Amino acid sequence: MPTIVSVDDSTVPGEGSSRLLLLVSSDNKHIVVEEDIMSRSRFISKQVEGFEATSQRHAILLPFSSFVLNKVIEYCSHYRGYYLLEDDPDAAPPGRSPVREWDQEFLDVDRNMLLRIIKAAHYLEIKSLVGSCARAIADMIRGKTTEEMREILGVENDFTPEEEHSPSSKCTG
Amino acid sequence: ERARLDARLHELRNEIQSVQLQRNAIAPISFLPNELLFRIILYHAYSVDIFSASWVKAMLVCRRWYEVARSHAQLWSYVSDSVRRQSPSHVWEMLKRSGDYPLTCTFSPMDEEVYVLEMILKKHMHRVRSLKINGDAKLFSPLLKEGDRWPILEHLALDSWGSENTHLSPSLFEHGAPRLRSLELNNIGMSGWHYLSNLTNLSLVRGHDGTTPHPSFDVLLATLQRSPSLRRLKLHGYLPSDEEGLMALDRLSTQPFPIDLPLLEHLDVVAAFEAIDALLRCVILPPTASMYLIARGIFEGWGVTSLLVPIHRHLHQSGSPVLLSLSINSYPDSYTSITADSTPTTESDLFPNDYRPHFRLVVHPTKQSACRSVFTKVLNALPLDNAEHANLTLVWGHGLSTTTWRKVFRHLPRLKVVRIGVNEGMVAVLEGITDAVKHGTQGLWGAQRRRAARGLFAWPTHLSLVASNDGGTGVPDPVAQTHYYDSLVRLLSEYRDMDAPLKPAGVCWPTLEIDSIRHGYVMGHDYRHALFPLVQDLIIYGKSWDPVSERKRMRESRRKMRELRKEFGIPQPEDEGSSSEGSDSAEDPAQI
Repeated sequence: MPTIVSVDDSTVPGEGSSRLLLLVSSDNKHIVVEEDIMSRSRFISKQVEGFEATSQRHAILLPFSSFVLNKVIEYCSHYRGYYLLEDDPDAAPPGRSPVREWDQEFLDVDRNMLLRIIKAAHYLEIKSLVGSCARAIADMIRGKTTEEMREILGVENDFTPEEEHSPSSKCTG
Repeated sequence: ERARLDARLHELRNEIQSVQLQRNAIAPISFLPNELLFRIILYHAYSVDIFSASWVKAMLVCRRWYEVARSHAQLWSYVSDSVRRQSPSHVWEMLKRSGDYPLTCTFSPMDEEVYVLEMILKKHMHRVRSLKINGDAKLFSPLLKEGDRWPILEHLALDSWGSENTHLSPSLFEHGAPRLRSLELNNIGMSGWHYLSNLTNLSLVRGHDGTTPHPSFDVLLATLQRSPSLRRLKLHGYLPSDEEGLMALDRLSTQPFPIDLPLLEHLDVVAAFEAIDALLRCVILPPTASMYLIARGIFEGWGVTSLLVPIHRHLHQSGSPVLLSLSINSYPDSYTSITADSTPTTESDLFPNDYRPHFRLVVHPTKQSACRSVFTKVLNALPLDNAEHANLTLVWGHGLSTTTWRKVFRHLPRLKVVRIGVNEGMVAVLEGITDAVKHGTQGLWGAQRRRAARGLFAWPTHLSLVASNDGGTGVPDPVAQTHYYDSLVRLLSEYRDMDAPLKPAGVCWPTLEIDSIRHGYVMGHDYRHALFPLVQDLIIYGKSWDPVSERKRMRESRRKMRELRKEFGIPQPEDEGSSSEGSDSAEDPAQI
């Protein structure tokens, strides 16, 4: 669970037409962002709804670094005001649609960064970003042998030789 | 001793496995929750074909991936006979692992394989969400019996290879397919339409010579009436074409309350033009719906007249996309098509996979005069005032004459870019443009004259040649290409020397672009010196070309070569000095 702390008025710039939120990353960086931008995150939206009950302003502590948080904010800023089917809670789960062109460029980062972004997106409940990251990771292992997949994902083969050669593991069908 | 060593081996293996498990536990990907791992595996399966067994390689990455894949029923709910052909037991295992998850099935059953489909329909019908069968309807239609229940069926697609008259059971949906939204029947008849409602996709395709019975027009209209959320409607050969049927259809189309289809995205109809006319009178389409019509029976210009009103009404209604490009296809003695789209350029492919232009009409005029009449009428009916790009790359042979092209270009006032192959069609198009410029606004009437008065009359200024597109499928014929390029030079010279009211003599063609060197064919490049003085800007393979810059580049390249030879002690060739002064005879086109 995130920790919600009260902050002074001086910490947050004055309110304009769009409300401002203060996000605090795990490396204690304070990032001020318009509420509109982060409305794609269901987690943030729920937090904001909670704030409305009180008159105090709040900061939201998030369990990932400012570097990752900035990437997520960049994504949300790019799609600010856009309707994305994946973020619609009433829409059916997305099928085999390809990664959007902008997302491909945005997610052209190393494996570890990609994993951090997907985790952050999952935490913030941004379904469209989770989907794009999952597709990007799936694309990394497409057409590869199992051994190559392990190398790309940085995992070891932890099956026993018996398990690996047993009919049930091969099946798979 | 052996027993001791075996025990030691066993112990070491266990230790290795334990270390591997620990190692995997701290791998970055292991920090992702199972839900995310499942999403990754699911997208991987989609990307490699979820119906085949090839995605399961990902299960064997490590134990955790295996467990995640095993425990998510959705991954096992895509059932196809391609899996079964690899191992018969797989399909049963998949059904077991899929638990109660809704099934998506796709089958192409052969004689001896129908039993799997039969078993699925018998035991799992209650959870079939999507069923697609492609095969001989004699084999699979008996399996779709009366009284079947399809509680969660959303998509049904049946495609029959057999040419025999196949008809599904009249009461196939009698006991309900309450969630059926998408129905696609290819060469298969069906009755019991009154059981269907709220469809979002309806696709009915019948071959030319098929005897497949189709629903009567009123039944079809009633189905549309019950499907106000319809998004895609495809009717190929399903509207009546005999005289009696057409008369009945005409009677029905005069009904006072047309059917509103506010969500329709794509209408795709292949039928007699009278039938299309009747259908378009019966339905109200939203302005954004794309329209793809193949109108049979239009051999003369008058035939298209009845379609102009609904086409005009649809494309001119408020909210329709602005048309920015068009393409014209013509195949001698076969068909002529006009496509218009809101994208800056238009694909010319007649049967594209995913590309859906906003408007396409295909007709089959038999004579040039009929072609001209069709073009005049249709181009006037389309809102093409903003269209600037024409794709004519599928125009070749002697399909359309110079006079016809002149008509076309006089009806397209704002067109700037014409893209075409190097073939007979190019010659006719250029002759047509030259002719249109020569005649200027003479003989224009009505809307054309009003456009001319508003100063909108203009002709294409940018000719883009797809150098390898000669209308054939292999390497372009050099003899024919020489003829076409000679004609190009002749026509551009004529254009330059022409003295017309809107084009004084001596003004060259503005821009000529040559691109696309398939098969390494570079004849356009060979003609660059002849073409250069005839155009204001010659673009070859994306770059502006002129002989001065080329000579400069060549001199620079030779200088570098001399320096390299000197550096490596290679003797200089004797003729180097004479050719270095800019002679083009030794030029290598590949260096340009």
